[in-house]
Parts: sequence; C-alpha cells; structure tokens
Amino acid sequence: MTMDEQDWMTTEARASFEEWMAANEAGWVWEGADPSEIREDVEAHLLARRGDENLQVTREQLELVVGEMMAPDAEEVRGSDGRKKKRDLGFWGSLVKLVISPFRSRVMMGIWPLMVVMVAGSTGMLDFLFFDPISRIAQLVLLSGVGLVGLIGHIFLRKKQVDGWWAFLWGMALVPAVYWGLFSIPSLVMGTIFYGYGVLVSVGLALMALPLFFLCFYAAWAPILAATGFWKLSAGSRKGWPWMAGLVAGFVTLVAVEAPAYVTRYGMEHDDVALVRNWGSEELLQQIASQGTWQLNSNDTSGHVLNLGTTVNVLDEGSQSLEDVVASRSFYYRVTGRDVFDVKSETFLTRQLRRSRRGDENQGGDVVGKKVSGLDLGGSRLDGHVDGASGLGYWEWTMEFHNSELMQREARMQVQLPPGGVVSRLTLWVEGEPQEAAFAAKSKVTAAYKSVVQARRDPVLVRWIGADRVLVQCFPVPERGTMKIRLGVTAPLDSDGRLFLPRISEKNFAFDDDLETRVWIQGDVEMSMGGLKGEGAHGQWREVHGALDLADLTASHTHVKCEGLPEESVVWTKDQFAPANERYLIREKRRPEEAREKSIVLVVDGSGYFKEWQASFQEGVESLKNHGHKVRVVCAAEEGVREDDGARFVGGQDNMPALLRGLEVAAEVKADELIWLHGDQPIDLEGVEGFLQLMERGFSKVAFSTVDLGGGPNRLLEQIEGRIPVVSSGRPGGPEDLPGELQRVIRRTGDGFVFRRAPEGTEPEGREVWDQLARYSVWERVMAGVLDQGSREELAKLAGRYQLVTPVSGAVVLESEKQFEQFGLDQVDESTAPSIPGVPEPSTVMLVLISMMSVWRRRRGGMA
Amino acid sequence: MMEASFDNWTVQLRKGILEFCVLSAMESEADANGTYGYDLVRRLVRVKGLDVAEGSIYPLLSRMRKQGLLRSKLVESESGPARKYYRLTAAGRARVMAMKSYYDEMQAAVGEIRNI
Repeated sequence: MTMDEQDWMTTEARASFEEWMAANEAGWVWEGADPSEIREDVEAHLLARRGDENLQVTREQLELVVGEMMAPDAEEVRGSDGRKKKRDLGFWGSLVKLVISPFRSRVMMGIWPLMVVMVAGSTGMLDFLFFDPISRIAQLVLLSGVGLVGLIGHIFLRKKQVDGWWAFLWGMALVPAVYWGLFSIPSLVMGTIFYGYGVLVSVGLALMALPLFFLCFYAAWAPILAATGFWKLSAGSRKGWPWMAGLVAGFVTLVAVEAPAYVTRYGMEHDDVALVRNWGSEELLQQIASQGTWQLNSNDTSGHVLNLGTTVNVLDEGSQSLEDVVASRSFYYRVTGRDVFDVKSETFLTRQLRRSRRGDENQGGDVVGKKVSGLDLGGSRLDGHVDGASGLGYWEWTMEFHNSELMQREARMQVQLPPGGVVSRLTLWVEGEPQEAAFAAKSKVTAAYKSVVQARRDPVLVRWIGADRVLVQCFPVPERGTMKIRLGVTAPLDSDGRLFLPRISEKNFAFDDDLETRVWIQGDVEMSMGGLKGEGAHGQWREVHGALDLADLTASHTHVKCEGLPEESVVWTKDQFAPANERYLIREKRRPEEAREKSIVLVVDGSGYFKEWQASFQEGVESLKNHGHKVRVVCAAEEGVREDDGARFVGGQDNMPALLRGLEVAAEVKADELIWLHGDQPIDLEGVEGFLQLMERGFSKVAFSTVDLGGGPNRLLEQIEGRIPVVSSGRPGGPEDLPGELQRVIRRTGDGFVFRRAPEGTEPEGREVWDQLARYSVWERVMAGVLDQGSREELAKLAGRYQLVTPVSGAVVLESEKQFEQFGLDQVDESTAPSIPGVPEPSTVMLVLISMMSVWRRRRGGMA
Repeated sequence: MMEASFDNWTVQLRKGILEFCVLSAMESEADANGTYGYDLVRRLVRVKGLDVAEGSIYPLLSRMRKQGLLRSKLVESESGPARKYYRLTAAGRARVMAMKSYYDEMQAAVGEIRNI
C-alpha cells in the first residue's frame, strides 16, 4: 500500500486528520516547520504503528498519536495532577476567542443560510452595500438543503463511517458552497475596508457598530467555512464515484437554480421578452423592476457576476438612473402583463423585512406608486341615491385608512368613477369633525396640498387624471392612527339604466381579503344589484342594501340596475350657483338618431389577460356583423400589430402601434367607430402624441370609444382623455357581458340632451328634479370647453363654483380655516354640498302636516 | 490563578527541553543510516516525565531540518513503506554540544540555589 492510497484510514479518521492539520498548519509555518513534511511523517508514523496492514486506522487510533498534539502549544495543558486543563486566556483573550469562534465553528455550515437571510433581511446591509446573496426562493431552498447536509455531517456523523450516499451529498453540497463562497471573498475584503474607513472618518464612533459588522462578516464568512468543511468531510472519498456523482449533481442543481437568473439578465440586456418569459426568473425580474433609484440593479448573484465593477453601492456606482428603473418596470409589464407595483406582495423574506423600514418615494407626488407597509384600508361604506327622472345617481364613498407603522404615511389611490362620473364632494374628518373641501384650479389646490404635505399637516387632495379616474391623496395617516375621508361622485345612468359603482383601480395600501363594503342605494325607481340581499321601501324611496367584498368590487365592474325609469322628455332644477337670470336649468331630450349600419374598427389589447375574453369577443364581433355592421379588427401583439387571427395574447402589450394602425384602417374604410378594447395599461411604453396628432388634425373623423376590460390604471387613456373626445366607455362585468357591451357602445349615439336656462320668477315646464342636474350639466360644459381649448382659468372658476373635480380643477381639504385663507381657497359651505337625500323623521312629518292644516284653516277663516 | 501559571511554566519548560532531548537522542543512538524517525519518537514518548505526544515531535524534526540542524533520507524497507532516517549535521552537533554545556551550567546553578 502506498501513501497515496487513502483507504488505510477510515473516512472519519481522515476527516479528523485533515481537521487537525488545518488547525495547526499556520502555527507550524510560523515556527519554521514544513506542514507537508509533517503530513508525510505523521502518515508514515501511523502506517508503521498500525500493525495489521489489513486494518484501517480509526479515529481513536489517530487520536492516540495526534490527539495531544496541540498540548504544549495550544490551549490544553496538563496540570500537576496530570489532567487536561483549559489555559486561562484572561478577559481580552476570552473576548478574542469569542469573536473568532464563529469562524471556526462548523455549526455555521448548517445555520448559514438562515443567518444570511436574517442578517440581510433585518439589516439590509448586505443588499444595500454589496449584494443580496440569497434573493430568490430557489436559492433559499438549495442553500437550506446544503446547510442541513452540513449540520448533519458535523453533528451526527462524526463517529461513524461515512461514504456512499454521504459522499454523494458532500460532493453535491460542495458545489453551491464553493459558488457562494466565491461571492463572499470580495464582500469580506470590501466590507472590512469600508468599515475601517468608516471607523477612521467617524473618529472611532463607528466602533459602536462593531457587533453588527461582525454579524455581517460571519454571514459572509460562512459559505467559505461550508466549502472547506465539505472538502474536508469528503477527504476519504474524493476518488470514489459517489463523490464524483455528487459533484455532477451539485453542478446540475446549481445550474437549474441559477440559470433562470442569468437568462433574465441576458434577456433584459437584449430586450428579449419571449426568452425571459419562457426561461427566465419572474421572481428576479420582479425584484429588479420594483427597485428604486437608490438600489443596485445588480444586487443578486447573477447581477454580481455580470456587472462586476458596479457592485459597490456605497460609492454610488451601482445605483440606477430613473430611466433604468422605468425601463425595468416596462420590461416586467411586457413579460407578465402586470404592473410590478400591483403585485400583491413581494416574494421574498428579506425584502418583506426590509420594506417596512423604507420610506415612500412617491409621497406628495403625482403617481400612486409602490405599496407602503403598514397602511391599510380598514373600513369602507358606499351610500347612493338614484333620481330616475334626471337619470343621475350620486355616490358617497366613505373610507377609513389605518396605519400600523411608527411613521406617518400617505394613502394614494386612483379611483375609477362610473362612466361620465365626476367628483362633486370631498370631506375629511379632522379631530372627529367633517371638514368640506375647497374646489379650485387644479394647480392651486395641488400647490396647497404639496405645501401642506411638506409641513406634515392634514390635507386630502383629489385630482382628475383622465379615463374617468381621479387621483386621491391623503396625508398624513398618522403613526398607529386612522384617517377618514368621503368622496362624493355624481354620475349618469347609462342607456340601460345602469349606475356603476366607483372602484379602486390603483392603490398604495392593502386591505384584508375579507374586508366588506356596506352598500346602501336608494331611489325613486326599482333597483337591483347582484350580491345585495336587502331590499324594500324606505320612506318615499325604494332601496337595496347589503355587504359586498371590497376585493370583488375592486376586481370587476359592478353596477346597480334601475328599472322603470320615468320617460320624462323635459326636466328642470333650481340652480343655486347660477345668477338670478339663469336660475332654472331645463333639460330636453334630443330626438334619438335612427339606428343604422356602421363601419367599425376594433382595436384589441393582445396582452395575456385577453385569453379569457377571446371567445366572447369573437361572439361579439359575429353579433355586430349579424346586425349589418362592417367590422375590422386590429390587435396589439408581441410582434407589433396583427390583423389576422394569429395573435397569441401573452404578457403585456404596447397598444399604441395598434391604435395608430386602427386609425389608418379607419381612414381607409371611412369608419364611423374606432373602439379600443383594453385592459390595464400601467406603463406608458411609447407615448400617445402620434395618436393624438392624427386625431386632433382630423386624419380620420372616426368616433373614438373604449371598452374597459380591466379597471386598473391606464396610462394611455389618461393622456388621451381630455385631449380628444372619448364618446363612450363600455364596462363589461365579465366576458359574458362583452357582446352586449359592444352593442351598447355602438347604440350610444342615439342618446343626448339639450340644456337651456330660464330666469328666476318664471315657471319652467316639465318635471322638477334634484340639483345634481345643474352640477352635471356644468361638468359636461367644462369637458366640452377643455376639448375646445377654452379659457382654462374661466373653466376652472366655473368648475370650482359648482364644486367639481375636472381636468382644470381639483379639490383639497386643509386642516384649518387659516390654511384655506393662506392659500386663497374658499371652503365649501356644507349646506351647498350634495348629499344623499334623507327621509324625514315622523315628528317632522307631523309638524309639516300640522302647519299645512293651520294654513288651510286660516285661509278658510279668511275666506269666510 | 496559581495553577494556571504553573501549567504555563511546565509547558514552557517541556517545550524548551524537548528540542535538546531530540538532538541528544539522535547523537547517542544513531546507526549506519542515522536514526529511524519512528523509533526515535516511540522512544521519546516512553520516557516518563517528558509527557510528550508522538505527533508533536514531527513538527520539531521538520523545523530543525529546515534550520539545518538535521538532514533526512528515505530508506527502502522490506516490511513496508520507505523509512525516514535523520542524522545530525555539523551544525546540529555543534548545537547539541552548546545545549549540553548550557544545560549542565543551568542544572548546576539551579542545584546550587536549591542547596543554599
């Protein structure tokens, strides 16, 4: 047997021998000895001492020779009684030993992944300063397995022969341990340099963070320890096939875990959406896309490898530009069809832990942005009223936000109003008392809000952003406190007598899946609504009420169906905001156009969600054709635009090329209608100016309508509406409603009203209705004025007087009268604000009757 | 505390004397090839009071070889792997003479002090 053959020593003895060598090597070199020579000599000694050459040297035999090797030099010494004793290291020696011990403890092999996750998650230092070594679930699973194998190896298998399957596992675990160990080396070096620098520039103050530094250092050191540990454990079996097979298996597993991340980065670099969708890691993509400018784009293992040189965030070399951040978010949308900010929760523990301490980069800004931790919608109620004769409804939506964090938060949301709806009331509860808003020019209320947000006082702001949507901002929801607001919305019933409910289309807060909204809707007509069980009479009103899941309300279009609407051709109202000579507003129904066959161009969003709408869409197209309409379909597809049936409906598609092509087709065929069927478009991929230019310049005289299949944010429509007329908005509740909704959108041109005014003292003809009619007519007038590019200042004044949130006006509630005065804003008098009509109390009814009786008696008396 | 310092003292004493013992043993018991390392180690371990482990002598041998006090050679063996033999160099012999002289002086000095 030669020295090279290692099976003369048991695996366990070999492992101990290697451990012994490693522990003493540095000391021997320092003393001037040659460790390789010592290895040879001790192995020769063991062979000579073994006796029977058919037996293996065991760990116990090894210990007889080397067990007390360290006795004269290290901590163990013999006392006068001959027993082993620990050397007294003193206070500083003990402290150094305590600090050093984790670097030597093999237990670290097992707890390493957990430790890295906890250190990275709780401090954010690894991620923020350098990179996140375990950023994905697959990595955590793999490294937990590696840790478990290491732990078992060192705790339970020390006194047993370990080869075969164990050798396989040592080999398998070695590969990822080496891979992650290599990542640790630069972090250890750079971390030490930076910390040392920090200590110097802080004149020693940074020494207070020494335990944290060591914690990070241990976490980075652990994979190196694990790699050397697995190497030593496999000392006796490295030439056997199980260990080799383990290496191969480890490599394959590592590739399976890491390859999707590298594919993702490659795909992003080369703008290959399909590659990332099919082979990439959505989890990593989500992490990259949800990062802010202050974060490294390259802070996972794959990014660390592919972006060497830009990995030190503290030097500000690795942080991203705003363009990078937007590009990543767009790429995520194109791959998945979802907005990364709308993903329910970030997927990984470390990010969940960190997120809570991060600020809100969109606070006081103009977008909803990312969800912020600790902020929830804790309560919600909707009260509504329908006036059949005017064909108008009014909603009051009361919401209460809860903040469980120890810092103030801003609640932001986009609210999608009913089609053609307008915000006509805004209330904030300040110290338990409801305070009404001031309605004024958008720029004026926005400036007031931003100024007050900076001063950290109590405002709420509502601005119109297009596409039947408003942006609501409330600040501050106090730390561990609540904030309550109420939004009033005036909206018309559609031609089928439907009044849609407002809904949240984008938000930066969460709510429980089972949070219910109490709904009460009353009116002078018969009403029904899916999910509401309570119904009956309430004074002079019919009513339906009940509770609906807010999640359901947020996920789809919901409406109240009104039956038996009165056929009033002329209605009027007393307009409290108009001058005396225009006191009465009279509305006459326009004679409906006769139905005719039309040429229609349908532009379809080819994003992934459309698959579930595809069948009903085909059905709708057939139905339109059966009604004699000519239909052309243009579809936004991954390859650009398709006009055949070959669209695949994947990811998130940029709809603007298809809209432009739709306009070209409309011009070619002289189409009457261009209808855009769209879902959410949370990202503005290309801009809308090309489309607006063609529409504004009259390239095609087509009427532009939309059918909203999603209900989420739509950046394109936000920019389109208010610039060109959007004549109708369809809102199917689900795929089954789509054919009918398409028919309804086509039919809409038959509706329409004419308004005129009459002075005080005259008696208007027709039926009197509520004053919402006046508000709504002004809303239509302001919208028409905006499209006709009328004076925005005059329009803003008009909208402000009628308490409306429009493209030119907004609403803001401030904390005090002084603040309103400071910003030159007039707070709405509560008596002039719209409200849900109440039912008179019985006593009130009696008082009215008694008064009427006495008047009648006096008149009779007088006549007599 | 006293026990700990005593332990340290014994460690240092043993450490200092061990090198002298090894060199002395090699000087007195070399055969034609020199001293067989394994035999040397076994012999030293059996000496009562010296309290030394087998494995602890090899680093000493390695260091002394690198210092030029010893030289080694491998000799083929019919009964097993090649054996390593050590022989003192001239410098090694000079060192052991100097050590012996110093040790005798030291022993005398200590004896004198103890007899006072």
